[in-house]
Amino acid sequence: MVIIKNNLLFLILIFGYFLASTVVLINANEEPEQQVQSQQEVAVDGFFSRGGHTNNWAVLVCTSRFWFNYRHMANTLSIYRTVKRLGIPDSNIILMLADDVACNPRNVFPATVFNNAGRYLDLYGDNVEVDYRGYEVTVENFIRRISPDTPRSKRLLSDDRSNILVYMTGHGGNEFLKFQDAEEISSFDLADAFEQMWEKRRYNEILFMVDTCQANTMYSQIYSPNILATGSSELGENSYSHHMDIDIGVAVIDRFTYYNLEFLEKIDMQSKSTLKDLFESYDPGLIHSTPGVRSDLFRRPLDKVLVTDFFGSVQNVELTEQKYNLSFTAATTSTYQQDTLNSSSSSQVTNITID
Amino acid sequence: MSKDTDKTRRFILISFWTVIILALPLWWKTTEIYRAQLPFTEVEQWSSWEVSHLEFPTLFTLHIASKGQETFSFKELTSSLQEHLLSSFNLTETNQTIIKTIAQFPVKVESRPWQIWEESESGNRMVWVFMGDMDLTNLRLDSLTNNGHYDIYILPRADSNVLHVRNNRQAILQIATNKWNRDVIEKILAHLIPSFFAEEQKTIKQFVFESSFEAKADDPSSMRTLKYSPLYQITFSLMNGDPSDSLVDWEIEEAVSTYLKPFLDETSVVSNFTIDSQIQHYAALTFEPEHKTFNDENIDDAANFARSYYFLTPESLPHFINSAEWNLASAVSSYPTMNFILYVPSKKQSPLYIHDSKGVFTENNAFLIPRWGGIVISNPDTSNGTYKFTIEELKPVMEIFVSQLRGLLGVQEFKSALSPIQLSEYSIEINYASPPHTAITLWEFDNLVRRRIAENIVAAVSTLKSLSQLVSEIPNMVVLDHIQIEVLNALESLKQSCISLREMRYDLALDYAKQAIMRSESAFFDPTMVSMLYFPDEHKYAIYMPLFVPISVPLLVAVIREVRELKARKNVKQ
Repeated sequence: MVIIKNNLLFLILIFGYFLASTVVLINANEEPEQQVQSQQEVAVDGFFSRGGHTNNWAVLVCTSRFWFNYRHMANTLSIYRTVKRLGIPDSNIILMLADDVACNPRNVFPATVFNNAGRYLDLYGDNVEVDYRGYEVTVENFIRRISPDTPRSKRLLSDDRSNILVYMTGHGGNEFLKFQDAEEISSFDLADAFEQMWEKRRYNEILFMVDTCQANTMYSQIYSPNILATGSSELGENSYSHHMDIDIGVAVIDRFTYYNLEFLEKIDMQSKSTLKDLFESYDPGLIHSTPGVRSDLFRRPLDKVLVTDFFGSVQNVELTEQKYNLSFTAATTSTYQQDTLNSSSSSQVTNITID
Repeated sequence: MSKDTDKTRRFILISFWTVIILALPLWWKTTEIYRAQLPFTEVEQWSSWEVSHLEFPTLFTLHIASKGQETFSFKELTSSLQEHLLSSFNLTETNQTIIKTIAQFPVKVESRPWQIWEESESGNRMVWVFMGDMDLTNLRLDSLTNNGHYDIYILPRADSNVLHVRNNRQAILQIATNKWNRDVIEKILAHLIPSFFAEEQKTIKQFVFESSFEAKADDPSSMRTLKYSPLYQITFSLMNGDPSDSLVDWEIEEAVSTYLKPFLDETSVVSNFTIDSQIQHYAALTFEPEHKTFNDENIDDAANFARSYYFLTPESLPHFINSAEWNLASAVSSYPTMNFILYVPSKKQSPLYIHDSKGVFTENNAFLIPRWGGIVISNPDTSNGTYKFTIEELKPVMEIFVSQLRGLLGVQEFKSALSPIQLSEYSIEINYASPPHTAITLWEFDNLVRRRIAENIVAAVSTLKSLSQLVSEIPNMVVLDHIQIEVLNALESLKQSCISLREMRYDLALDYAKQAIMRSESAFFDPTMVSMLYFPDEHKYAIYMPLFVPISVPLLVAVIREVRELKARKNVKQ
């Protein structure tokens, strides 16, 4: 039974692949038309609008516990710092940290988290708002995120104009990512969660970024549109840490995240760098694994997508030219209706002749 | 082997198997994913608009000035006008023919004579004396109509054609006496009325179109307007750039109750509001605004310095909100928040102005962030260390906020719908009554109600469709009974809403539409509606194998042995 089922699945997959490739071919032919359209868009919206989104959200998840996973916390906090620096407010960031290394007794620099042996920057410095911590970091909380009995800051209240950055790091394997030491999220669950969000139009575009072993398998099952995914390593490959801090005693950052940050550090709010630039900056030689990019579900060409479309929060604005003329002064609030009543009595006779 | 032990052995074996066979349904039942039956077909019918379509009827009552007998046939006028309006209301672009069947706009026109005339003799010619103020903006007319029912008063005027649009559901059309005939009136009305409703109907059609074809409009108004919510939170923030220069305060509570309350009361039928305000100090900008200095040689340096100012360009405005430092997020409610910020720049950055893309001052010194809120920059004279915005000073600020709020809530500017029209033969001047203190005219209010009804019905239908699609797509999702109840209730509300719409009871239709959207959303966002039960097959085997293989092997072997033994015994007997 199982074998037949697997064969069937395989056939369907192959068929799907053919379909997808023909669609891609058709799309390739249509490209000039799309470009014309995008130019029109720019002309219509003027300087106000870019990319069709009006707000940005970030969901940053570190799924692993324990002191020796220090680097996962540091990865997540580094991305947190970056998105905050580029303008996403805390209210729009869901930060999930499965452990609190800053307060771990083994931390020789208490209440700090560093992502570099040079210890230039304390990631735990000030103004870090962790939404889910410790044992709260569960698959359920990650997938739900919108359950009604949690405070507003812990919920993903995105809409059809939201661009969402989903960053995950931890220990994973073929099509799963381990949460704490208790449970795991599979790529199927993740794909279904995205689909649920899409069905309710809870996003405009998603950038899914995952740094774990065999990370590219995590996004393989996603089937909802407008999702761009990138991962640190292929099936069968491990993701490695970048370097360790002798005093802290553990590795402080992972390679994939390290090189992402190296690129992102050069970005500011006004930057015109695109995601294509980011993806091209990945060097498998340095990362020690093969980073993957999945863009078949994504509609815009990558060289048109600004890094700040996901990592920043660049808002559209519209100058207010109008002013609503409130027809009364503060003292006379209710004169309006009296006016209308009074005036009818003041009759004035006008003659109009009709033949 | 004795017969007794045989019997016991068989009994034991059978009892084991009985337990297993009896337990099988129990196992099946307990490992099954519970799925309440959802009305899939009904939802499907709704989403293809087979069950019902949206009907937005309008009724126009023409009050035509007359004395005693009709100067022309009113009946002919109404019937031909009705026909005309029907066709132009339901006109659709060629690629949207399907929408014609989904969203319909029936029109009814009726007429009645309007006796505001008195007869007086002057020689042999009969003169009609018009009683009342020629300044028709103040003429009192009974207004008892509901949403969708509009009164149009038509009367002659000495020279030109004028249309007075009032704030309630009335308009007064004055036709030059030499053009006072059926043809002209019909032509003018047939041209004017559709242009009043064109924008609204376009939006309604757009809602339907988007939901049926998943086309997303990128026009600014759809990006500006917040999604419908039964409650919005409005936060007024006074941001002080640097309190070491000056302390600022404002009479916001009084200002809100004076300037804003009438508007909120009026629109509370559609959505409710909660309002809070805050003052924040040390609200610094993340960037340095550009500085403009003057080097006019005719005046001295001090005067040049006094003329210098700081300005923001449209490119820098998106970074104006310093979201990392300014605490604007509210944890009070999870309803959508609208932020209105009055920003007082620090002394070393003032005066601060906004340039438009051409480098010209903007009059209001204000800008809007779609779906977020509005910002007004004010440069008060803070030389004596403190400053308090009084209620009078807040008036221009509140006027801008009201204008932005209207945009965020999706109130369509009625005045922009109609500009003075030059019909080929006749020119019509259009006058608007001065804006009401509620900041929303009944025309605009009706328009808002109708669009929110359309939006909510369409959104509820598409939520239900998404829900049923999701449930059929993800077989691992549990569907509990209360979801089923919510879905059924939502469908019922939808039905009621459409019925009320057809009967032109817009208030009722809005209520039902709100219920429909709330119920369908609560079903969709129910915490139990999550697929978290995906187990790969390997996992299932890994769970069952260690338990069942050790048990099943001796059981199966025992059965086989027993069967063999029975066969052998049969052979022996024969």
